[in-house]
Amino acid sequence: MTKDHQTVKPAIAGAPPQHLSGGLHVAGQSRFVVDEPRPAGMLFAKLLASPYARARIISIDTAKAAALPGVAAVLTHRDVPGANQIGHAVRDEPLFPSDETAFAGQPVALVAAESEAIAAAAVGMIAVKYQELEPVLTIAQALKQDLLYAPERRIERGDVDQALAKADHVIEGTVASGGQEHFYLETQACRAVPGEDNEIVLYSATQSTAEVQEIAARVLGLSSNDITVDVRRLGGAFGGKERAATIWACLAALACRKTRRPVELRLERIEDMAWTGKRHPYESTYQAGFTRDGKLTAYAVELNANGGAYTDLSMAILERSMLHADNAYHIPNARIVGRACRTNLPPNTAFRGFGAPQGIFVIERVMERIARTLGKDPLDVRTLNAYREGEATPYGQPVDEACHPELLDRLQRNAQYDRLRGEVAGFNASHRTLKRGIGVVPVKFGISFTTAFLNQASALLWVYTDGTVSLSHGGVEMGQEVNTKVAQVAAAELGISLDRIRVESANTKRVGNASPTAASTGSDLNGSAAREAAGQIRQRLAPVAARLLKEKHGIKVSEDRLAFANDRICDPRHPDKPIPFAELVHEAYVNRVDLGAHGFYATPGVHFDRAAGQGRPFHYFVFGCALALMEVDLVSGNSRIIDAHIVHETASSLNPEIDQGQIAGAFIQGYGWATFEEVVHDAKGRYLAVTPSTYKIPTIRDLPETFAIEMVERPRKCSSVFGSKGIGEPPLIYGEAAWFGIKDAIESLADHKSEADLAFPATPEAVVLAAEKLKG
Amino acid sequence: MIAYINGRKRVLAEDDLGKNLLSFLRDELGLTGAKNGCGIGACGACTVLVNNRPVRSCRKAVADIVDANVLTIEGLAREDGSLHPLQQAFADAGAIQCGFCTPGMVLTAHALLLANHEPTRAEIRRAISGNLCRCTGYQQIIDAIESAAKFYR
Repeated sequence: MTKDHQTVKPAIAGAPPQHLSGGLHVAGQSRFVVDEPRPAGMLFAKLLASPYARARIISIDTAKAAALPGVAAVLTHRDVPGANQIGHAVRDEPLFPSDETAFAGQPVALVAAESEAIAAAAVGMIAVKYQELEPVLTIAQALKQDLLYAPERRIERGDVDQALAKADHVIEGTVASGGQEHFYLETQACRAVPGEDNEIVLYSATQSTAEVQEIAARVLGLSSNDITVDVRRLGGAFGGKERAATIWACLAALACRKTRRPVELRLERIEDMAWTGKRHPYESTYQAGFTRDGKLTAYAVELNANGGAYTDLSMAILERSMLHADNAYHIPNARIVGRACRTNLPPNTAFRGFGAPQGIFVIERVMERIARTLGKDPLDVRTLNAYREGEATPYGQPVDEACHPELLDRLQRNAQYDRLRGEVAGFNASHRTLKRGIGVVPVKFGISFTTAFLNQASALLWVYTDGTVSLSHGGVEMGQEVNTKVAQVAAAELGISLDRIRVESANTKRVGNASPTAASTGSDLNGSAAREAAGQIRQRLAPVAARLLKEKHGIKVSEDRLAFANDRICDPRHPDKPIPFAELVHEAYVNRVDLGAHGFYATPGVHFDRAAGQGRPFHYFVFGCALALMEVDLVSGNSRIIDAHIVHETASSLNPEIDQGQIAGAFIQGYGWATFEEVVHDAKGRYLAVTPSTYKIPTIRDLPETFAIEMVERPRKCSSVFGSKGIGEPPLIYGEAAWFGIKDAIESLADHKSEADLAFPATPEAVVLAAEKLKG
Repeated sequence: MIAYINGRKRVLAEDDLGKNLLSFLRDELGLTGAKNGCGIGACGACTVLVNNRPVRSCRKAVADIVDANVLTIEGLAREDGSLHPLQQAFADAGAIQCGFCTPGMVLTAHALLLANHEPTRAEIRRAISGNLCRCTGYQQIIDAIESAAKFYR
């Protein structure tokens, strides 16, 4: 294999399995944190959470709780041996509040006891005196009081004011989008197990092994090498365990350190939903200028995020919103302003898409309004404005291999758009209370952490003398099948079958300083690192193989011409005379060849100057588009999705089956966010929908009747390992098409001449209100 | 008092009867395939079959399984450890991502297929509608169940 390997799909012996753990999952044998056998003497931790969004803590009396038989420890801010500080990007978040609580659900005290029941009983005996304070809950309140996490951020290109003045048409408006509960099926959990000396192993359900290690050490006053973080797999995460898993791991670690016993902390579902941060709600304002043909010439947008009680990842999320404010459209003159507001909600955090869905939603509203203003079809307006090859984004990165006009054209053909429009018009003409509508959303999504230094990864690979392989990498398996993809890459590089490879847990001892498994980069980064490690082994095996071929078969072949494939190594001119991989490995071992390798990868060429708002933050872009055919009942407000069509460019997919699963799952998740997943809190900042019976996520009944996904597989220069592209986040944004479809259906009431004032998410209530408003 | 758990007779102690069934299965019998997803019977991750009917074990007590046949996901594979055709269908169809909802989903589907060897896709949807999955978008789950139905005929 040669250099063009980069763009060639890997040759894997045998069919790639859907999921390395698939057999274990269906047999109930796969283990999540709390499924592992319990270590002897393990304690169970329960938390006392602040009932107030903002309150002064006057006193905490733990004496009665501590005296309860079976209680091993009752811990508060007074018991933190190191720094009472778990902030990461910004150090503004205490493990336990010492003087003032910042959100309802903030842990104030922890009980570790012999059983969950005793711990829960003891929590009820802790007496805390609070003085309730007025919380800040909304973006409007925060902006009024200037409660921002950082000075507002800006990205500018061209002269927006002049372009607005010259535009044929100018529109302005406000756009809000709602939060979203992650609802990973496995709730937040960590088991802390003490070792000898100061060692503690944290079996944490986290996407960020290195962050948990670093912060647990800080909180305990220990060193990073005292703490080991080990993650076999997560029962879903979606960003909700990137940053938001750290606090639970640190609390378990603290209880373990204090009691010198293993401690398990697992949130009940109701606790998880009530206490943890969600997707950021946004409230944004815009001005847009466009030509009489519908070409956007100027776009000024202010994106305001509700960050919740601590900085968490809000600034990075805001940045991604700003970097996706253009979505798929070329805007010659743009001014993008971003603000992250400090409020007293649980700290809002990463959620699949990481701010991009919110930024994209605003400009999609603009596209619709341009269409309504000019009496054009929204799809035509979107195509007209789509990036053409090499046009630059507002932050100065050219959009290479831009292909939206083509993808939108494919979508139109797949969905038979013109016919569908006609059918919908016919349906609406013959139905009074049922209305149908079509929504289309293209997506351009930048791949890379926008914090450039995070774009690095390591892998550790051992080949054993029987020819099997142990592979560790920095990625965390959470259902996205990063383990399968990374194993495929290593297998392809070594020319061995996948069943020779065991992918190990993510463990800070084997792979240190790992970036979070996030930003759709898990397979790109860790796959590239694994490829590098496997490549080293291959290089070391090659001379041994060349010698063996000569000795055994009398074949003279240079090392760089050897073929590694199908668990054999051969001279491609003599494929009938191979050396079995296991034999080669054993021969290498007895000749004292190193069979272990550490691979490292850093994404080349990514940089972003935050002050200037310019740079090349992304390694490449992912492109795609979606159409949703919706039906609404104007009386009940209920809506349903009838058809969904998606066109998604996967480049050279490492595993099309996995990618298809990611696209389908992400679309449905985005559809839930846009339509019926409603995060509501009361006037005191307490979340109200904290069980699956009050917060609705999509069920199997919410599937469209037709769900057609076209994956456009083709070689692309702008791509990652083996020519593949990241997949996790972009398809979530396709779900916004459902919202636009509902809006379109409502607007049929006014013959599409005026816009429906539809709230986000498009709940039944929102639908009824919008319809009534439109009817006047 | 006894119960048959995955085909094996188990004597239940008086003390056990008031215990939560999910905790009993997980913590005392080591059958951790059933998961605690919500604790209120609303997500389906704790589903086990009692006399071939799916029940939410997090909302049941051990007293509810006296004299009953209980099937957990660990009991579905064949004696030799090979996967049941329904389990294989889930794996083959890519009906799995994180795997946390999978045991409850498979068992709910198993109960459906025991009672109905030729379910329509609508019937499959109805049967599974109480089992939440946050990863897959469900489509492949329907495919898996549909393709496994022939093994029950």
